[in-house]
Formats: sequence, structure tokens, C-alpha cells
Amino acid sequence: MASSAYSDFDVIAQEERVRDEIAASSELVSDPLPTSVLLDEYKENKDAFRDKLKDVTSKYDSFRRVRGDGNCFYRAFGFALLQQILHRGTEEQARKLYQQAVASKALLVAQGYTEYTIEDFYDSYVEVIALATGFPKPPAAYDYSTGIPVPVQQDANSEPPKQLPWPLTAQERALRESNLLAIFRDDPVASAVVYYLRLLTAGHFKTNAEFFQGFIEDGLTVSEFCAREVEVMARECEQVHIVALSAALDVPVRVVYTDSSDSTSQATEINFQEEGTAAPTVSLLYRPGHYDILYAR
Amino acid sequence: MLSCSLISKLSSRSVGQRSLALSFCFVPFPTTALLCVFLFHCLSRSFLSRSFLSSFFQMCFSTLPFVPSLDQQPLQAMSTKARRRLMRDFKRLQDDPPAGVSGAPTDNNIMVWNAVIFGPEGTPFEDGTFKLSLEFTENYPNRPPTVKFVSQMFHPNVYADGGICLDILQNRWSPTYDVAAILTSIQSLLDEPNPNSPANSAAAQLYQENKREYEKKVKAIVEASWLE
Repeated sequence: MASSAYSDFDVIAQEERVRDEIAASSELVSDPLPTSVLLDEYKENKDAFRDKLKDVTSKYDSFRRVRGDGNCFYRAFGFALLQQILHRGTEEQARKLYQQAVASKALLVAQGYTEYTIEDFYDSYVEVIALATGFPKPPAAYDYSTGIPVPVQQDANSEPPKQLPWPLTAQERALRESNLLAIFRDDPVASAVVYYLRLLTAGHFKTNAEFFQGFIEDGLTVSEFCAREVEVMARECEQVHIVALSAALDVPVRVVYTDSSDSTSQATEINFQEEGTAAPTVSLLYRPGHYDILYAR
Repeated sequence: MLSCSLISKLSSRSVGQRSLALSFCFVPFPTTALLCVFLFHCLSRSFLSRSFLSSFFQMCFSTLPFVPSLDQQPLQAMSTKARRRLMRDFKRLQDDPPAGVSGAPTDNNIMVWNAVIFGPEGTPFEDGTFKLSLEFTENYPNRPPTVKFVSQMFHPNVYADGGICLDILQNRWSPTYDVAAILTSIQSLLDEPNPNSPANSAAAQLYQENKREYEKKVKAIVEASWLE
């Protein structure tokens, strides 16, 4: 058996280089751009793909690019959702999202995750949720001031956290949006938020294992599938992940699909939502292998 | 005799550590960890050879660092997410140690750990005490540590330099894994090699074609591990 000239470590180093190159050349979340930019980008294309993009530009006037690092769906969905709640969410939607976030850690622990290994991701997630929903950030569960983790005793009689008067003032929203964007562009924290969205997705798979088992191929169990395809950073997602995250957050999402198949000249829109719920307010653009955020006209 | 010297060594070590203001919480560590390790071996072996015991103690005292000297590091450096997480990995290993593995940060750097994995019972690796090093970066736990065998190893998925070919340390790394999970995964890799992606092609070939010779080579590195 001849030993291969390249070890796994060479392959990994190569992958890291590619990732670093992508990181150097694109922001995690860009500023909004007019959708006409997309048409310019594909000037040379004369096929159905460009027709579909034309269709997209007629319905959506701007978009944000999201870095193509395998986490783009989670990142795009996360940022678009928080921005939407902050600007157009009802008081009830905001409160629900906040309470669901605070309760989520216990649910994940009940699914078998070790609490301290998910703690930092949870902290980053509730921080952005609090920003978008007008709630104060919940107190940290552990005190590290001596370098040694000590659990913080929560006062059972303390008042429940108060939401700011809703809707927030235009000035407050602008400030919070720029803070959100800063966090989504600041890598260690941004990755933590994205990773927590992966955990929420995996948690939903596991809670509804019987339902999802039918969608999983290669004879994997739901847990094995999560360990391979969900809990690993940079692993791209499929439609079943979108179903799971949308259901986990109870937030409908629309994905506008564009590709070069010429059966139609229109982009295909798929709404991921429970029957009988209101139309999605978060829209994502799909180009083969990649998701960006879309804003309707 | 031997157990007496063990206790005296431990207690002098503990007293010495007590002077480190920040690390007093970890004083029970050397005692409990070593006792666990010791009990584990007593249970897994009906007879402990003298040479095995002495090399075992030697190994413990020369490699296990007992306590990270927190007071040697500026507090600010301690508080990065990676470092805080490593403190919790360490606490978990002390409070709830998995069977047959042990690990701790080195004396003055929480980003570099030493660990020991005991060869699983009922496998050719049984009775081996294999030392490893783990190097973390500030990207931990978003990126896995670099883990290497320091002890000599003969295994289809271990490179000549001790590097380990294991999916969870590479493309299947999940930030929810901790040091305990890493060490137990490597422990199970010992008896469940994947000969299809060999890091040591000689070992992979013997594993597939000549089990007897394979086990003989493994036995040799098990014995070598006692003498390190």
C-alpha cells in the first residue's frame, strides 16, 4: 500500500488557505446593494439564469451579500430576521423571540448537550436577540472574574426583564441596527451566533427525530446526521435544515431560487412556513450553493 | 512502600500549591486524579508488576502538571473566551473524569495540555499508558486543538510524528466537543482504526493482513510506554 503524498494535514491546511482567502475578499455581511448589481455580475450569461435574476430585480430592489463560507444560510437568516423584528416586528413577536431564546439553552441541555460547551454560544445569541427585541441582556450564568468559573446565583425574586416601549424610536432602531451589523461582522462573536443557530437547528431535528428520520439518507440516525451536517461549522445546508430552523424559531422564511435550468424564466419562490401562518417577511436569494439576503420593493 | 511514597509525594506537592492564591481550588486535583487513575488500574489488573508501577509513577510525576499556575498569567489574558472555556474543560475533567483518560494544562500555559490515555481493556493496547500533547489556539472551541501522541504509537491512523488522523479533530470538528470528548474519541480510535485512510501504511497493512504480527508490534509500544 503506497502512502499518499498528501496527508490529511496538507488537505486541511489547503482548506484553511481557501477559507482565509474568502475571508480576506468578502465581508461577513455587506452593506445593502441594489439588485441591479446582480444583473451586471452575470452580463455574459444569456441563459435562463439571467432571466430569473431579472425576475428577482423586478420584485426585490436591494440585497446584502453574505460570505460564502458554508454558513451563509444561517448567517443570512439570522441577520435578516433580527433586522426585520427590530424595524417591523410586533411587540408580541419580539417578546416571543426573546423568551424563546432565553428558554432554548435548557431545551438543548435536555437534548443531551453539555451545558458549559454551549454556554458561550448561547450568551452571544441572547445578546443579539436582546438588541433586536428591546430587552436587556440576561445576566451571565457564570462569573469568571477570578479566572475560575463560579455559577452566579440567580435571585428568584428579581423582577422579570422589562422590554423597552415598543415600537422603539427610529433613532433607537438605527443605533441598534448598526450595533447588530457590527456584531454580525465581528468574527468571534458572529461565528458564535451562527453556531447557536446551528445548535437550534440540530435541537429541532432531535426533538422531532421521528418526523425528520424519513428525510435523512445514508442510513444515518438523526443524531449522527446532526453531528455530521449541522453541528459542524462551514457545513452547507439543504432544504431540510431550512425547514428545521424556520420551525425551531417559529419564523417563516421565503427562499427565492435561481438557477440555469430553462424550464421557466421565473425565479421559484418557496415559503418555508406552517400551514395557515402569515406570509414570510424574511426573504433570501439562492444562487446554486449560496444564500444572500433580499429586500422586497 | 510504594503507596506510602505516593502519598508523601502528593501531600508535599499539595502544600506547595496551596501558596498559589488563585489556584487553591485545584489542590484536590492531583490527589483525586491520580487516585482515580490508580484505582482504574487496580481494577483493570489483578496483578501490578513492580516495574509497571514505578514507571507509572514516574510518568505521572514527570508529565502531569497538577495545576496551571494561574498567578503567572495576567488576568486579562485569562479572560479570553478560549481560555475561559479551557478552564471549564479542566474543571469538567476533574469533577467528572471519563474512565481511562486524564489531562491537565501545563504548568504555565493553559493553551498547552498534557494528557494520558490508557489502552482500553481487552484490546492489544491494554495496559498501555500513552502520553499526548494538546495545543489550543485562541480560536478554540471554534477550531480544534492540535493533538499528538508523545508516546511512541503503532496505529493505522497515527503518523510517524504522532499526529492523529481522526475526523472529529479535522473536518468533523464540532465546537461542542471538549477535552474529555477528544480524549475518549482517541481512546476508542485505538481499537477501532480506519485502515482505509492510513497515516501509517505499515500498520494499516498488518492490521488487515496479519493481525498476529500487528498485535505483536502494538504490544511492543505498550511495553515501551511503561518505560517513558
